[in-house]
Amino acid sequence: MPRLFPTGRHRSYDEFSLSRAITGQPLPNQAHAESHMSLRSLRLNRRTFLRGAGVSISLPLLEAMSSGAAAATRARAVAPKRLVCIGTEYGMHAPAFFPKTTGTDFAMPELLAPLEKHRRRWTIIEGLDHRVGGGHKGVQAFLTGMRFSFNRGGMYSLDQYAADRIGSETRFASLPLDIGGSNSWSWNRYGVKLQGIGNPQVLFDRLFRQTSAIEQRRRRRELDTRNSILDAVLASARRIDRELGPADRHRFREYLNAIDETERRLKRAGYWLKQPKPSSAGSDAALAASPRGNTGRGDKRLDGMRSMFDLLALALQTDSTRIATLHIPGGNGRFQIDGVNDGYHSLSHHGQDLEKISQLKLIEIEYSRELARFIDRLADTRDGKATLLENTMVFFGSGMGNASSHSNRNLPVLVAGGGFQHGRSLKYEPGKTPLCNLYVTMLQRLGIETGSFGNGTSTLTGFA
Amino acid sequence: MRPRRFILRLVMPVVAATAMLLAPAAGAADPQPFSSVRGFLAKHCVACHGRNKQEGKRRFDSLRPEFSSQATAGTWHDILDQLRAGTMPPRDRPRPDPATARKVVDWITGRLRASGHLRTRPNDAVRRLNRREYNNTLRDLLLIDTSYDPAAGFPDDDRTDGFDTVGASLVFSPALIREAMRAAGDAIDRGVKFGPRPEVRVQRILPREATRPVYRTDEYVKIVTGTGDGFQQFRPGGKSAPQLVQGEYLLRIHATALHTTFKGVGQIDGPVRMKIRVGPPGKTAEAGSRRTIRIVDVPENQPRTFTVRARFEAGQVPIVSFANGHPGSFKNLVKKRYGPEARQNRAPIMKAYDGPQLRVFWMEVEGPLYERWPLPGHERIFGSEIPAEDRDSVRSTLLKFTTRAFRRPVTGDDIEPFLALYDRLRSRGDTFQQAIRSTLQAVICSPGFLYVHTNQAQLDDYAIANRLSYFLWSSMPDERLTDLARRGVLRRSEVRTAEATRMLADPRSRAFVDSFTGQWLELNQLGEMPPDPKRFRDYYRGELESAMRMESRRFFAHVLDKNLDVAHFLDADFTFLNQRLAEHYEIEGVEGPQFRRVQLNPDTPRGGLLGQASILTLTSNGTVTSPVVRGVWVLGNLMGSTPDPPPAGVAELEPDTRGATTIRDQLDRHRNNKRCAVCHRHIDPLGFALEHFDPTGRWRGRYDKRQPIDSSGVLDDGRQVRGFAELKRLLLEDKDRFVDCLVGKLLVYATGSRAESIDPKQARSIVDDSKQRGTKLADLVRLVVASDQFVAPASAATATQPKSPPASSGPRR
Repeated sequence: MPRLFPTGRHRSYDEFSLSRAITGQPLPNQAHAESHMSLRSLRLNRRTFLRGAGVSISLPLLEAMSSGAAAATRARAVAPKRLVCIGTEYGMHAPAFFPKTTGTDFAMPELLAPLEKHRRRWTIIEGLDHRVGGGHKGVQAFLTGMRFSFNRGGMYSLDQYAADRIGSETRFASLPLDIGGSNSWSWNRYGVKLQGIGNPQVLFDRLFRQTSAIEQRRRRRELDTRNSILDAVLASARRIDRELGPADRHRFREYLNAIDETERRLKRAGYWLKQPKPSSAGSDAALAASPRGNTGRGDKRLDGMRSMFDLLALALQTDSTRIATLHIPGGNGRFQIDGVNDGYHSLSHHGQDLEKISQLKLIEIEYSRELARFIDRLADTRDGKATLLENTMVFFGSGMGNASSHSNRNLPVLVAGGGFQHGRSLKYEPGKTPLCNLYVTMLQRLGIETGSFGNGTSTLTGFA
Repeated sequence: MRPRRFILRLVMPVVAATAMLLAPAAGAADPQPFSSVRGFLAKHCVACHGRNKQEGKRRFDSLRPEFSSQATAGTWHDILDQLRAGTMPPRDRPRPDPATARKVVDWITGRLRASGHLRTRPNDAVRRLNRREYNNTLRDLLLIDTSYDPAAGFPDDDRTDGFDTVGASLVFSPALIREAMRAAGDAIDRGVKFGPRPEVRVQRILPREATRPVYRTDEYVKIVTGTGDGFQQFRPGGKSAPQLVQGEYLLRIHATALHTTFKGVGQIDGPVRMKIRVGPPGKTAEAGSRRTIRIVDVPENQPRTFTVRARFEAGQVPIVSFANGHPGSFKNLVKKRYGPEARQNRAPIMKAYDGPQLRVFWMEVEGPLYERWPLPGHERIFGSEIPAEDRDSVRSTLLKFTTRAFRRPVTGDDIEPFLALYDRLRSRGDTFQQAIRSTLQAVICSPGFLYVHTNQAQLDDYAIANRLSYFLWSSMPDERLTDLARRGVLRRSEVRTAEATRMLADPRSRAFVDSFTGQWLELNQLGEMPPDPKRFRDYYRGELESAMRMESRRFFAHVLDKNLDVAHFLDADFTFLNQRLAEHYEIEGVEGPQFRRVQLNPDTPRGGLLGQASILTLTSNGTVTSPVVRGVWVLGNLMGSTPDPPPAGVAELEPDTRGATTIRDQLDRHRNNKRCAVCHRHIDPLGFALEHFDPTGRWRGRYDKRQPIDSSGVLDDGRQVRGFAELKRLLLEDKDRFVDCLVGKLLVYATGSRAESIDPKQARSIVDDSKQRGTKLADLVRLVVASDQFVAPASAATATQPKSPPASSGPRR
């Protein structure tokens, strides 16, 4: 197999060399604001927020919300393009997901029924995959196009590839999200998986909670301390680096890269600390509507998903980020859905048991319902001269083709929005077209000049 | 301890063997002329890979001993791979003589190595501490209790060749730096405390501070149902709960039990057992965030005070529950006992409840308690006096601390960056305490602390000391090891052997037992895909999973401590059980929760690793057993040949659990499809022999759907295997292969080298030496430590990028 990203680690080190980091010259993007605060320390009691305001957000309110960044965007002639990648851990039951026919007049498959009224706004594509195996282990290929291997490295996901190129203009270069947990589909350019944000309260804080003047001062001092510590650490590291032979230096670069990157992030964090966060009127309501406790649990999973979608829509609308992923977890929790009385993982291993399949479909149809709701939101929100949906590619899929047989072939793929020509069912000959070709198409739509990504070597023929 | 002369005798052959190896590169004096290699190929390979047929587009009759060209070297490498894996010649062809095959393997290996085409990658001269090692090193550096898991926020360590000590998988990321800074600051705050000893306070928690759902009066909290979160418990909450700072506390609980002997719904066996936990006060808490401190028996109708000592993290509270209470909600209990309508009237039922119950009158916390002040870690760094703030004192403090943290000699230049940091912070206006804290934090985030590095062409004594201590203790060297390094004697193998004996006797060696078994036997994966709670309810009763893990650990520790023959891993007439696990195994006469050695009846289907429920459970997917996964486990962990993952383009098995077919019918495809059969003829029969164990390791006579179990098969070499007992016998016949495998695993774990970088000749000589003494486990550990491979520099292997990624694990689940 060709090495897809053979020099990721070396290159990044050379590009952003140490000297530049030390001299404090401005460096390219990659911001994760507030990186100095751990997820845990930000977890606040939800009672801190609006109590009992359990209302859904009214759309005019959303429209009214604006902030400096979003307003600036609106003033721009060309609205920025955005990308949201949503993936399920166990795939979608293929016989009920793919239409029987191609073209525009396909009969709506059972699992997509909730998306019927939007059928002109999305395209479903059958026959694409990454040509990797691995069962559950192969699922992480979802956005990277390659199977994870400790020895090879090189995992670099679509969203991070995009975020590294266009993420510098927003508070968050990207938002990797999860439901309840901290998993994600995002792998950074060093081949390291990013922690997802799975708690709606934490996400809310990151997006909207204003920082008081005292808090700002405290944080600025802390940022300064951290910067000083990093300087010392870096100087100490360079002493060791000098002692290493050239072959051994390879592994050590990771460390230097990490320091380098952290310093850059601290600088970005310092910048964004000064910028007010967008107004949070609607978001308080979104948070208030979110479930209490661990949203990763089966019985709260769907509510948790809805909260994440709500907050994600707000994040896009306020231009807090332009790139996001949402991980829809697996596990054996039991969903609180009428007719479902078995664990999710057990159901995914249906072994052709019709009863289990019908329960599995009950769960998966809820995913479509939440997706439809999200698409609705984006379609109803104005973004410059168009709608938010027209400027946002919403990609829904999985790295799992068939969870019962652990097959990573023929992956579920649905693309909504983004200004593509939609309303169609497309089928490609299985095993002939890499899913990464679609990723190339999407990257180009984001304005990134590239002709390849992963094992994709061109755009996806027949989809534009 | 063993007489030293004996150790010398044991060690000598290893040194002799390696000395020969270090002589001119293999291939210079060719012991195996090409003609005999050609003869071997002609006899075994050319029929299918020759002039008439080129199976797999490979042709060997015209292959020349030409190793400078990439193409021919690649072909030779393919031959080598097949021979090493034993996958060629195919089963229906005559087997080559093993000795001849080995010579051919050695010849090809030597030529490939000499020409630089042997596919190994360099090991890493620097490797980051993994999470376990990080925690233990912080523990020993700052003299703090690290059971709170400082590295909890670190990204998971990945593993290479099954082990987390291999540098290749220990990556670094900005997320890790962020977490390392947080963890370092937090650990320093636990170990270093300035100022006077904090005042000890006694705080009482009364019933009114209990949060729902419990029944409470002014005098007591009444608990009638079982133990999990969401059930009844005395958990103080709200603003009235004591706000504790991190530290050790005495916890007193005044309680009694009532109606212990009640018969009916909610009845219990034996006394009421009270579970005392410590955790966050909220209603829902992260899994694992509540620690069990103790489970105690509560006597009937005579209130008494139970006192335990416990560590509290900041903001945590004590939580008391009824460990063996009704395993369901109170609503469920009422419904079962009084019928569905009674659910509406639960309050009066609870008030007059006559079933077994726990009554807790109050709780009390006293602390924070410090056995010593200043704290031991603080004293170690600053001495017992109030630290001087002049620069010279700071410099000498830093020099001492950094030397210990970096685990090697440190010069004034080395601490220059840290001094500069200290100065910078002081000039910014930080106090001494603030500045020194940040400075220590920087030391602990430096690569000198975070990495084990071996930058010399040859390992120096400090690097050897580190390697020894991280092998057997998963932590930093102690003073004695550091002292031996200073004296420069650790290159002598007999010194290392003696140290290994000393270190194995030290309690810190439990880290070796836990993490080596966790990784070699994959015990760490137990519980990742737990059995389906609906079908295997029994699995969730009475901490069975941890009992399973404990059995395997205790068994390994016993073989190690008593220095027994490693053949015990394949079959043994004893194991370690407690009552819960013995019930699972249907073995009688084991009572109580503590583990003890149990002699096994000859007709009990247990004994050896493969009879242990831990292994049998972790090789199942939680729903059904998979002979493939179990077979891969046996091959990879006992026989040392992990099969490759299935080739791309093979359709996955579509499982059918409706009951029409058995797993055997489904796997028949492997036999009938030639591409599958190449590997699965090795894998499947091993797994089928274990089919009488269900997904939780229980013995079963039939499958759930009543189909009979067929546990017979034919191994690839033609030997028949019928069931578990025969499998153990056959594995014992292959004991040599197992010993090879185990030595390989020990070497990877000990040196952090990749499996492919281990010199096979060195491994073999360890095996040969151990055989003279009966292949005993502790001997093997000592031989590994004494071997030249153990002190070989990490990057000894030739650097050639592999053509394709090696298989890290077989097909799974």
